[in-house]
Amino acid sequence: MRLGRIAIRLAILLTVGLIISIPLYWAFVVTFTPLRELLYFKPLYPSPFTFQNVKDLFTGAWGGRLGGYSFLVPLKNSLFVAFGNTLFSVTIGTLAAYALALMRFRGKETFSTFILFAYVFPPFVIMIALRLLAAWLGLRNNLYGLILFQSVVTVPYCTWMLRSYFLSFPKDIEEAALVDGCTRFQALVRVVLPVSLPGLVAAATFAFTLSWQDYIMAFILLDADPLFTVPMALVSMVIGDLVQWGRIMGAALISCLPPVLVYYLLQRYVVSGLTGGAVKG
Amino acid sequence: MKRQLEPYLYIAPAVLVIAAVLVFPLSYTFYMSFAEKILGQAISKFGVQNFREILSEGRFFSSLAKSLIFTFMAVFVKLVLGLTLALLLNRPFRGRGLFRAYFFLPWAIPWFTVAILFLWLFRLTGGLNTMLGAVGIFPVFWLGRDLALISGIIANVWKGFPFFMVSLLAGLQTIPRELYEAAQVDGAGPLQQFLHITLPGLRNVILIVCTLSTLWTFGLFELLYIMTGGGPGDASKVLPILVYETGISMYQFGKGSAMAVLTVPLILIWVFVLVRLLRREA
Repeated sequence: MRLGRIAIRLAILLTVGLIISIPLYWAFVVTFTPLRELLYFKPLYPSPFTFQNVKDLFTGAWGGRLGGYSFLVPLKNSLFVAFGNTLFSVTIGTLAAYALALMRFRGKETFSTFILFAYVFPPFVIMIALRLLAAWLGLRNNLYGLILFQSVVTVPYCTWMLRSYFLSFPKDIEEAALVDGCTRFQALVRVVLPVSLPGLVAAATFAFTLSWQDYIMAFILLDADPLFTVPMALVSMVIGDLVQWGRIMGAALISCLPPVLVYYLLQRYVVSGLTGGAVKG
Repeated sequence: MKRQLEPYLYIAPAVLVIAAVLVFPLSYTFYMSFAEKILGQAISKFGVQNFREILSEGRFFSSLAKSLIFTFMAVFVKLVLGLTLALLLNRPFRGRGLFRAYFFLPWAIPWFTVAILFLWLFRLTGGLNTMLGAVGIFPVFWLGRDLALISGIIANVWKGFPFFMVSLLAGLQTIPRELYEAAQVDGAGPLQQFLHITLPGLRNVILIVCTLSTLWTFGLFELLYIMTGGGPGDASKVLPILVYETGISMYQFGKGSAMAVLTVPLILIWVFVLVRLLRREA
């Protein structure tokens, strides 16, 4: 009876696990099989096994019409935008979260709701207006513009996550610092932030991955090859006469690595951060 | 005086950024929805003509229907799958941590990568049909007229279920063990325990997770755009793709904005529900 139950449980878990692995398994097959063999012989596993597709990524075979460039170019753009965006949104988010968590003022609830609203609001609704706005401000094909546009997601996210982190900060300690003659800003920098470092690191890394994964803002803002971030560069390769599946899959797998790494290292924060601390991970 | 002003200075940068990149564009979308504008020319006419046109065409409603089917089916399957896995992984057993970590993986993979993975999988000569061919089954048009939306739902579930699983697992831990022991003493079977203890205990987590996922799934643009471009024909043209096509590809700024505006009430209802739920929890 007991053994039967364990067997059923394992059987279900293994079956679901197997089904889930199929897309990833195929990504692996596509990446390590030469394109010609892949399309003509349709192998079920990489044969002949090759690293050529991955090598091609970095030897200037990426990109279509304009002649090749290295996949390092979009990687560099993405890194620049993600770092810039992280710095920007963590700074702004920290300030706002500090006020929302530890200060008393009129309209606090309204502001918290406003931040939450911004976080979950689907960007497709405003994409036309953003496109026009970008044209007026001269932000089309501008990576700084992309940093600003992405912050509509990352600033509320950082604020929301840090707010729930600061809420658990013992209020007495902050008050003691204020009584001792610290200004609010000094209390933030010298007392609250050092203790909240883990939360700060978590917010920063998630902001980084959110920016790294962003497609829609890049799609609205960028339309020239050399400025493409990773998602744009990847998708622009799918549309064409002969799709270079091997290279695309290789690049797709590489671009998964930063988020996967972050999500595993900071698993504890993933869920509680997204649900505003309502669900503890 | 200084005391009272200070908190507002701290939230000002965040509010300004959100105002610039969300509130202003949203207001402008409302404004544009009443305008008739051609690329490179000034606004020529104000009125409700965009709305009249949209409401008379039916294309908007068929897209809305597809969006709602996509959203609700995907959220429902994610909930069922996530809950099943959470229940299976809640009891301690050997290898549990490994399973948990493994099932978490799809959630960490970005949408654009998921779209590319499934684009290959569902192509006519792609992964699934190759596997089916190996066991002698004819290729299926996964991205054809009949199945495109379903294929999109499958891809959405694949990436989204771990969020449900992890949240529900966390929710399960908060249900006191004594409740189950008491129920067992009273002679309640596993099904009764599930219905009367587990489900009520998870109620809030389920509601929050479903509302969040509904908002995300409804607003998801890139998955179907990359996989099918909304096609073939209009078969998988969910609202975000229709708004993009109308307002940006075809330069019908006013009409596209009006379509976006028509979805705002729906979104506001969901956001309102979410805010209420989170506030009750906090």
